[in-house]
Amino acid sequence: MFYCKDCASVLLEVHFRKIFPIILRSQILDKIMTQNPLEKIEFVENPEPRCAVALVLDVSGSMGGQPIAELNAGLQEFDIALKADPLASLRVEVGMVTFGGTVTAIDFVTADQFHPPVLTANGGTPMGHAVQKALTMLRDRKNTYKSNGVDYYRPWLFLITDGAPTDVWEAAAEHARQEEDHKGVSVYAIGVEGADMQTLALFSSKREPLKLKGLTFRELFQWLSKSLGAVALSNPGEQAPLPAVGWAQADT
Amino acid sequence: MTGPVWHILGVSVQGTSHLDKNTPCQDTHAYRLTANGDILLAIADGAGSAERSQEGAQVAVEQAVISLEAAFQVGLPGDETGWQTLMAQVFADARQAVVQVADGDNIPLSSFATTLACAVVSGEWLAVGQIGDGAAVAEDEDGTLFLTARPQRGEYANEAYFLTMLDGLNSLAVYTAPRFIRSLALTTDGLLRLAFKLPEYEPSAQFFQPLLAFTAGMDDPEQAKSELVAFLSSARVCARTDDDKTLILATRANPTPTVLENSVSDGAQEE
Repeated sequence: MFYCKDCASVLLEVHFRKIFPIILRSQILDKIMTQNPLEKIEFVENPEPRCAVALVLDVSGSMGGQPIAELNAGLQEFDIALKADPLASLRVEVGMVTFGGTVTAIDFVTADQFHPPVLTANGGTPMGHAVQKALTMLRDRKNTYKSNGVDYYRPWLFLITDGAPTDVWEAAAEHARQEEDHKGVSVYAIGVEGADMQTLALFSSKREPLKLKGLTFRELFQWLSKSLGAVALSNPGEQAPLPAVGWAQADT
Repeated sequence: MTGPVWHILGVSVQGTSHLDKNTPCQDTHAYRLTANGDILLAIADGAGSAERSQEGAQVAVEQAVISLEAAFQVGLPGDETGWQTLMAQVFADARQAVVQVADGDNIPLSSFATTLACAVVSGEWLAVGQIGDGAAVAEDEDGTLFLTARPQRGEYANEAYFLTMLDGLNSLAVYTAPRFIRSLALTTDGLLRLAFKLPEYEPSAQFFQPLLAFTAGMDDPEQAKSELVAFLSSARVCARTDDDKTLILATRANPTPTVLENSVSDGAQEE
């Protein structure tokens, strides 16, 4: 307790004003007498905007051995890199469609919930069916975002193969090109050694397929996580610049 | 003398992503209080990826203020159509001013991409115009907050509408009403996710009311401004948004003389 030296009463605001005429108002009084209103501000909790990526991965028999081992290692890197960025891990959503004999899908989860499966290689290359499945999943995912009022970025379809489709693929390729023309998706097609690059080129209307340098899946997935992170953090009016591609062969 | 009619506070603060990427604060703002007690406010947000968007934003805001001040000189509209026409003219002037700078330097207009929002409170009229994803929130006489300028959004989270687009002026949205309001707040998109309940963009009283109380209670505008800048630069805010942030807060000075603070300081003077 403090007492006023003039009138010996308990110090009141009036006395403070007399004793400290200049500094008192904002620096002392406001702190003592009232809480700064700015400290009372509460923020609204909104869901994070999402950036979905559909990984469409070739696990046909020809991927057996070293390629599938490197692909699995790449997926592990991808997982670690995404989870290392706290905001990106809440915004990037990963879905997966693998094709090797049959087509298997894992639905979208945010990166913090993603656990890459260990892929094994066998069977033919039903790439057309897999791409159709991925396009359907992406369309459904966007509808889910819309109906829940969740903002989202343009999703990515990331297609990796070391061969040529063994199913009917033309309609799927056309569908992918149309979706891309309508700005519904960005398609990235990657050919591993042995891939039919001419066929692969027909799955995107915007960009040429890139050929993986050797089995540098880890570099590829590092790049993918960085790129998705950049997109998922971009603000309105920003085109996120993508990092340099170090994993592709110069001539494709 | 009736004292101040409005308390107004405006700041633009650089976002952390702009600090990281070494891009300037591309937000800007301006406001005026006229002798009649009318106010005009303007904010602009230059596009993150456009090279000279900071300049685009500045030119747009400056021109909008000039055009609105000119309108104050000749007399403000008395009906909604008149306000619509005035806002259309203000935005056309602002766009033309940016076009002139771009043409003068022989640089594409898209390099100056910017949003623009402006608001006028004159007597019992409220008029707000916007192209882009800012937001304007008004406070009714009874303290209810309502959205006037709704952020314009494309399908994707990083899409935006700009004054500088080829058909930019077609995106102009004007809100106008003969409606008494107690306060008005303008913000760029950097604060949207903190201040509004999405997707309806319902303004949050827990966000805006303390800010309006802060504005109403400020003693020293410069001190208040630096406190607001400190708040918008705080870790708490930057954990939720890495974009530039602009706020203009305008609130009518309380006309009733029974404010506690007044009586206390009067007492101190009398002693």
